[in-house]
Amino acid sequence: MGNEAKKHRKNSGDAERQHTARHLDDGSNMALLIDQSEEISDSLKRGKQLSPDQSRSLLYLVNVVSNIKDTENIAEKKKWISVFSNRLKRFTDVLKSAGDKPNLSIYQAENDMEFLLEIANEYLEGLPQYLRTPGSMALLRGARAKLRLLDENGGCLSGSELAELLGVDRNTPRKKHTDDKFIAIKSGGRLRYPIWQIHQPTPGEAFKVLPGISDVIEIAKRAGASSWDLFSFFLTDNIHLVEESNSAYSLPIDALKAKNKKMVVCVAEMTFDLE
Amino acid sequence: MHLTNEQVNTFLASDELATRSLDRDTTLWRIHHKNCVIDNRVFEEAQNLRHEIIHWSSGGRFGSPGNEVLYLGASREGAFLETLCTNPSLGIEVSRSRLQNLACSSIDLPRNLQMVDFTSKNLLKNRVDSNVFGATDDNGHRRTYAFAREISKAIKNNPNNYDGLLFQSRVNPDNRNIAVFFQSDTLWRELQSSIVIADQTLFYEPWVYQMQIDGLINLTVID
Repeated sequence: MGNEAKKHRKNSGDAERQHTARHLDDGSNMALLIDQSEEISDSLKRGKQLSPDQSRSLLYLVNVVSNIKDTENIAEKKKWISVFSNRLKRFTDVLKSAGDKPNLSIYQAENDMEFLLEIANEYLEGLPQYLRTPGSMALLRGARAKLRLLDENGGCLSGSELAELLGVDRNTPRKKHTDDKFIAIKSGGRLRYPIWQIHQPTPGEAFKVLPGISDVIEIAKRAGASSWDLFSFFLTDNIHLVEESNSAYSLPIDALKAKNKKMVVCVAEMTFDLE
Repeated sequence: MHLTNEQVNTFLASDELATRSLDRDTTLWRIHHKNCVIDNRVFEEAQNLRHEIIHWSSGGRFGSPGNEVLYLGASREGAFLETLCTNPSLGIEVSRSRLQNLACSSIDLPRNLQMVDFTSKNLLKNRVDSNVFGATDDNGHRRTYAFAREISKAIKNNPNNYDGLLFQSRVNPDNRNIAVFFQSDTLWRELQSSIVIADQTLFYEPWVYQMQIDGLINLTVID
């Protein structure tokens, strides 16, 4: 074994692995948030700097709210909404009463999710570098990316809106999603279907899903990728596509709309099959 | 001096080229899909996984049907960037589930490999400049993957029997990457026996997150 590999092995020892897992594990973050909510609330009221663990648990609140929205079990949803709305109210009361930071971007947030992100960002950014965990920062950027991806390129439709557009039964979009024919993401407790996957018809044509969408879904699924990876793939400039298309396209969704299915499938293979 | 497409076959396919030797026991890195894990950390069915790690690709920048290559990184960070970064200005945007389905294993080379060197001063000795890697040629035409694949094929056919290519990462020029030519089943078996399989997925690897602190990458994890 080479020196670098030995070093890697040493660095990836059990202790470090558990340390990292602790920072990223859902269950422990949730427990931490509940355990420390009183303490965090007190710290905020007294203007004290949050500890790294407290900051992480605050950031986790952002993800928990998102998870609550995605939970289908009504009883469970009610339980968590009750627990977290109480805590959220406490956090927001403290922040609103602070009132001495009129330029705080928290106050410019346009919705609850942005508000939570700004709270998390404010405290994580305010911490010295050595106290900010890279995992937390990566997840915070991920929460922002979700908002961007849901909104980009026309945004998303509900299942019934998509069914109406396509002229099909209202259950068809969900079934097509289950069969890996349509891209959808669960947000706000229901499936959202990105409108960019729909072919813009010429007069006389019907609306339909772009040819190639299901091929890319299949490639991504094979690689263990999620719907978010599909959103990111189609809506992000891709260096493989720039090279393959001789700079004609950079966004995979644009290339697909221009009927370059073969090229987009090839780029998806390079992206997801690790070539 | 830039090579035209026509010159590729006459020069790279026949002349002696500037090379660098990757010595036996040199550690190289490969990002791969996990196919079986216990409690998200420990891989089982290691033999099956070895086939996934030694993945001869007929695509990407240097691979094509009939000229399959194995892409490796000289560092695990380089392998990660080259594999997952499709937009250098954005960094890496990846879901938690995808990171949980990927791992980074290493290969300690079972023997010396003679690589045609497309880094530093050897780039020019081989009469190829960075144009090969996605800029423009003398006539202002873009050189795409298609041209890089021609170069790769020509070198594979060179009678000096080079083992592959050593090149700079597009994402971070400090990183070196490797494309090993598929020459024989013997090499395949030798490489397979030299794999050190990762014991956890990328999601649990601290160095993945450390890269953003080191300024190598802007990592976004969508959960």
